[in-house]
Amino acid sequence: MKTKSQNACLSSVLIFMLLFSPFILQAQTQDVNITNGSLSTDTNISGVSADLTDTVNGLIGSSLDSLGVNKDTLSNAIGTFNVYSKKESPPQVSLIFSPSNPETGGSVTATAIPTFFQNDTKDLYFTWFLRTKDCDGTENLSKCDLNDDGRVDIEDYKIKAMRVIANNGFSWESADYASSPDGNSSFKATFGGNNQKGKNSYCYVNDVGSGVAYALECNTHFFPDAPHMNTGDGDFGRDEEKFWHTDPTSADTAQTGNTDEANVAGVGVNNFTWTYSSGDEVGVVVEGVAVDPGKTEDSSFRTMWAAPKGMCYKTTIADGTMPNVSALNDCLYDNLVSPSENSPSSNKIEVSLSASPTSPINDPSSYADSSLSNGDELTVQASIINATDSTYLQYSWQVFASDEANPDDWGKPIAKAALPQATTMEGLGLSSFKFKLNLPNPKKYLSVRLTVKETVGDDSSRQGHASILIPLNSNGNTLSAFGTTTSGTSTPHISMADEICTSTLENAICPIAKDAIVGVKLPSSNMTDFLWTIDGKPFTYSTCFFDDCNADKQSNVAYFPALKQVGNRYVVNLTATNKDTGEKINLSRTFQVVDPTISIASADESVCKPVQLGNYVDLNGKEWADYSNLTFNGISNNYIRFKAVAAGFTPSPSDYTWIVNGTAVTNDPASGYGVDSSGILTIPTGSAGSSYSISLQSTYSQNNPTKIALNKYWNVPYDQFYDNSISKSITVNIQDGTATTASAKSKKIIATIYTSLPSYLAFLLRIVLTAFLILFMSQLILMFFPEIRREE
Amino acid sequence: MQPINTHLEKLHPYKELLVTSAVILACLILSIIFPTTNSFQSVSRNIFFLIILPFLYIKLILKSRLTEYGWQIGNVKNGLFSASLAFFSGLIIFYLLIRFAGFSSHYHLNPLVENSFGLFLLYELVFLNIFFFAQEFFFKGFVLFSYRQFSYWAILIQSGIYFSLLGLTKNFSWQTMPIMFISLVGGFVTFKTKSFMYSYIFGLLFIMILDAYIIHLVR
Repeated sequence: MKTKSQNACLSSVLIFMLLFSPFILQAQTQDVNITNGSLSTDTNISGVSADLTDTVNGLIGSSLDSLGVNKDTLSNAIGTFNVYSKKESPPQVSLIFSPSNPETGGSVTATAIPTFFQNDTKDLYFTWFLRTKDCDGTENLSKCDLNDDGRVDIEDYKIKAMRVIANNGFSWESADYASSPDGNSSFKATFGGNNQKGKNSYCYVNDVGSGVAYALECNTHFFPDAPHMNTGDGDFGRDEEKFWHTDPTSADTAQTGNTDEANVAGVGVNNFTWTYSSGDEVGVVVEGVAVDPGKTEDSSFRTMWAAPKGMCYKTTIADGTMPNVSALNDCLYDNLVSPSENSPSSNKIEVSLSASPTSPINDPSSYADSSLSNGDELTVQASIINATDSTYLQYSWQVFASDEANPDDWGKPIAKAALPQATTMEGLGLSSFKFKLNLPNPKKYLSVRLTVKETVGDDSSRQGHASILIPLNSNGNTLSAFGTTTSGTSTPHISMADEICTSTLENAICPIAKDAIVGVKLPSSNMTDFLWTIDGKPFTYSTCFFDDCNADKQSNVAYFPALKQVGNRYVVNLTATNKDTGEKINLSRTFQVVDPTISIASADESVCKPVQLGNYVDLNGKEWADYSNLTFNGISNNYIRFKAVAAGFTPSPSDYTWIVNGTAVTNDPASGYGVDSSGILTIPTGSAGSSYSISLQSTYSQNNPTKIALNKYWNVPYDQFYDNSISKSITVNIQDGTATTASAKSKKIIATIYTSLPSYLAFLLRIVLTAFLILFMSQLILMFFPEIRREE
Repeated sequence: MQPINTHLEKLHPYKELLVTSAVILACLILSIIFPTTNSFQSVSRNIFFLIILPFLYIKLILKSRLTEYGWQIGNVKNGLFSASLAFFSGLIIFYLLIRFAGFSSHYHLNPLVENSFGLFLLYELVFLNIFFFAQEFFFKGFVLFSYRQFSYWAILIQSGIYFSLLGLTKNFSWQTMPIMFISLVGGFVTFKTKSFMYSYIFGLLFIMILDAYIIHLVR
């Protein structure tokens, strides 16, 4: 336990230490060590003994403890403070190019973005330098040695760039530099930027590794000079005007707001635009004052330089003496960059893909003839954002399939031959790719992948990739359409009749007669969550009127009436979810309201068939017979039969009325006339040369239960039902039965043989004569040999 | 200078072979180039130059029996064995060609034949049969046995003549590969049995089964 006098003495020492410690610490900063959170010194401070030091340390520790200060935290904070000056960021500059992938002959702009400078951009000195491909060496002196010093070096590169800036397209070749009045184009540069006039100059270069800023002798700027002249010296005479290709009559040829000499010095010139040639490299060095003010006791700041890849301080301090600024000039060779080098993404083409439809349907059933299938046509469209010339892009499309959305390996691409109606997959300008989804063994997902290549410049190329995942609805589901029957009058009940629109043509657009009630159904039983829409609006029913109807939610069946005018269309759409896989499907079917029609067709074409008018050739070159639907030929003394074919509605046989030669046909077994239970007309034919006029009449009208249903469920007024009389007439010409019967075929064959016989006999004669000639010749030859006998 | 009779005496042992070779050549050329105007005449041409003319030459000029030219039953046991061996080896070879070399995509049959069993039988048993018999009679009978003095080389000679014919008429393709196979293997069977009947029956059966299998694959 310490006595009061000891405490008083130690407290005095502590106060002394606290008062003078900053000065002591300042003088001994580099000697301070941090060990286990306590402060220690390698040397005695002002002659205080080691014991006293221990005592002081103990007192400081006790005092800090009593104040609640954590010694470790304090030590860390002081340690950070000690090296703070080395952590400061030196001035830096970065370059960006626009465009990032220039082509030879195109204009390209390099923009310098300086950071950690105290000056505004307009006060910084930007010294640009440009090395062209043919000036990368010392051979091409006549072209590249711009300052005539006998070598091609960084000074020539600076002159090349700064001439472009100062000249700004001025036609200097025609300028009269000898007699033109001397414009006031001079500029006096100060170290550290254009806003540091009157201040002392302290130049530094930063060692990025150690963080130490080394002092330099401020002997020069990085400005390029005309031979035997200095840029930024406040003197810009006619010789310099001529050298820099500036307008001698204008103080500011570049029209930057600065004088020509200031432009050559790069005052505020943070952009450099030139005509690009393959192999061009450009660089910039920026002079200004650093954010860190330095320790000088005046108003000056540290003058420092920044280049895109840093300043190489090590070469300047190798000899241990204070180097000057000009020694840093060699650093600039390492700061030349090409536009593509400085823009890593410039070699990448930005590709994006979109597909339509997004959830397409595959129809594996009709793969053999894809033109007849219900599978969607998948269209994948590519968008290229940064193509130099989209006309010359090389596209390569690939299609992969997998049951997983994100497999490790998509495997081999599907061959073009296996993609029905696929468009060209490789070539120029193929920005879209289509194929029909009739894949016989589809996977759950397709991945369409695109590789786009573009040749840029002489040898280089750019490319981009993109892929799009397409979930495939491959369960072969289709919406089936049905006619309907309605029963009951108080609460009409609608049920499905026969399926309609099953032919290929009607499968695409199903014709329905006006006022007909149509049923649509998804036959698959493993689906749920049905959402039916018609022309984009959900199906709604005021009450349930059909089987499988659920008042709360939709089922796999829906009904709608054709209430639009003739020619208009309905698009019925169904969205549902597979119970097992969760896969969503989206199906649609198009219906068109048509006038109901009937036509007459032969029920037995062996005795009566329509007259062939000729042939027509389709777009595939296939020839089709063109038959009349008004005139038929029948065989004499036979029975010809006709049937009614209705389109747009499904009448019952009893709805038809057959009229032959103006008389309605009734069943008359004696005469042979009759209409059977399925509505087929049979008439006996007379002799050749006679003809018959046959008419078929029917009335298109909904029955009463249907009308009640239309009114009750779809609010169709009773006075607006669609009723219509339909009729069709044909003429049957009777011909001689023997001319068109099967016996005609045999006669034709006999006739062919008869007509071909003379030529065949002539052929036989020729061939027999030839054969005998050969036999005779062979016998004759053998006769030349004496004593021909087989025994020999 | 030797008198002409001396030359003839030297050629004397080969006189029959030389004249027969000339007749074979004439028959082959005429079976291709003799002008016809329809398929009926083409059938007649083949029958005439590949069957009737060789037959007349053998009977009238050479004054030989047809049995010497393969028109006989021959060694039945030997014939059935070698024909069966050739038949099954052919099936295996062509199954492998179909399975691994895509033979079925290069071998085409008339769509009418593919779609109608009746027409298939008509084609195989009548049209194909006539052409095939004519070829067998000519190559395996007349040609092969005309060169029998060369022993087994006669098989290669008749096959070589047939292959040359295909090459000259630009018919050397997958389509004619079964016939080429039969030409070579059937020649061996014929030589061993002294009868082209086994080769003919084996060949016809083989082509019918191959055609039926190809139809099964493409339908």
